[in-house]
Amino acid sequence: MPLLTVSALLVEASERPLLVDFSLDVEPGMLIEITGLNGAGKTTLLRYLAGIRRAYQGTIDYHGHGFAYVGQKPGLNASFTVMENLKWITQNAHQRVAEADLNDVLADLGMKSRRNTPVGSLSAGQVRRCGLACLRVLDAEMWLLDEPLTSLDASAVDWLKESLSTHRGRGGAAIVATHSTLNLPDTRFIDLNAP
Amino acid sequence: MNAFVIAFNRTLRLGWRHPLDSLNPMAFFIIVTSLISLTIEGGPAASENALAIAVLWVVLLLSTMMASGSAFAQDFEDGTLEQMVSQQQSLYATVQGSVAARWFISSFPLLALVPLGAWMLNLDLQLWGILFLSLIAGSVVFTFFGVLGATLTLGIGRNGVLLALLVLPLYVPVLLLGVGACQRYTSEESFEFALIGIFAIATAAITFLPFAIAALLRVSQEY
Repeated sequence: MPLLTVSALLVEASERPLLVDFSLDVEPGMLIEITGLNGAGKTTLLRYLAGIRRAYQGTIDYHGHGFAYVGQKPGLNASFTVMENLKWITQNAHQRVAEADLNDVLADLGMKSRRNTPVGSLSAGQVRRCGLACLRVLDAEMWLLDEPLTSLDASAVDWLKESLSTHRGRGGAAIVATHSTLNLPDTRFIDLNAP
Repeated sequence: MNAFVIAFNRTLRLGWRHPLDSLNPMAFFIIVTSLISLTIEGGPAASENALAIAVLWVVLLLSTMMASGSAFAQDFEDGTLEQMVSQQQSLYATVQGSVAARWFISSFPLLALVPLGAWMLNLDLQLWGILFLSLIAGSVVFTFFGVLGATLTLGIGRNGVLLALLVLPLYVPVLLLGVGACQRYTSEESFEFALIGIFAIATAAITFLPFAIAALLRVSQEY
């Protein structure tokens, strides 16, 4: 059974149709990279899939264990510490995660020493790392990532690739909107500019 | 933990991290009340209770509007609002919790300053009770309307004037009812109807406005 089924979705931006009758089945273990020129609708499509924008035509059905969305904005409050933000992310998703597990994820990302640092004091790359940490923190089968490589250094990119591979191996799936391919095996590409 | 408690705790913590958001409206309240008290020679006479009541209501209204104007603005900018809209089936409890915390950190301290303002404006002691009671309900409505206006103007830079234009007309009925209740009490007329009216509006605001604010939060993510 697919984790996500999208049927005949109309994707609009400013009342201009970007994708008409867009359909997609995402099976466990799949990695889909959404590519396309600027303005093709990559981010907008992901916002529909994440429920941030409402689908007025077509349907989006999740059959799995929910999703985690990491958008272009970090979704972290600059006044809160890294740990406070991660705790809020889990609470917002109605999940309970032990502090030790949050520490483990931060340690993997090389961010444990900054756990009590306000996010506003971090570099752009570190903020991005913290945003991506929610992928490992949340118990979600579907990952939706919008330009996840932005501001990341080589070690963080490796961490992301490894996390994606582990996630797929456990039966999860991911949709990634990106300009730079992740170069992971068995990736399905969807070019939004393709005729 | 339910969504109300999560949002209440989060907004309270944010208020603690940004104390000026609460202190500035308090300073505004004290300064305006002091200026009016000083510019009327010797302060308003005891017979000018109506003036003192009107001044305190209007200053509390403006202070509350000042405190509510930034609601959800930071969440909109940093993408937290995306996460709220994305992960939650209903934003109703989140909005209620957030506005309740906002009332607690901004309006509650302002209410604590009302006795000081009443003293500076020579308000009869016997009127302090009715004034305070009506202002409690009024401040709840003002906070909800302020957050509603702030949500309507999310994403619009320099939204102060627009916010005032949108929200001030909504405040007028509550202001008239509140001041009317106090003045009727002063002239020993029946004031209960007006007082019940403000509390009824406050109850309606607590119950129904979170639906409107939640819907606006969703709309703010549509563009």
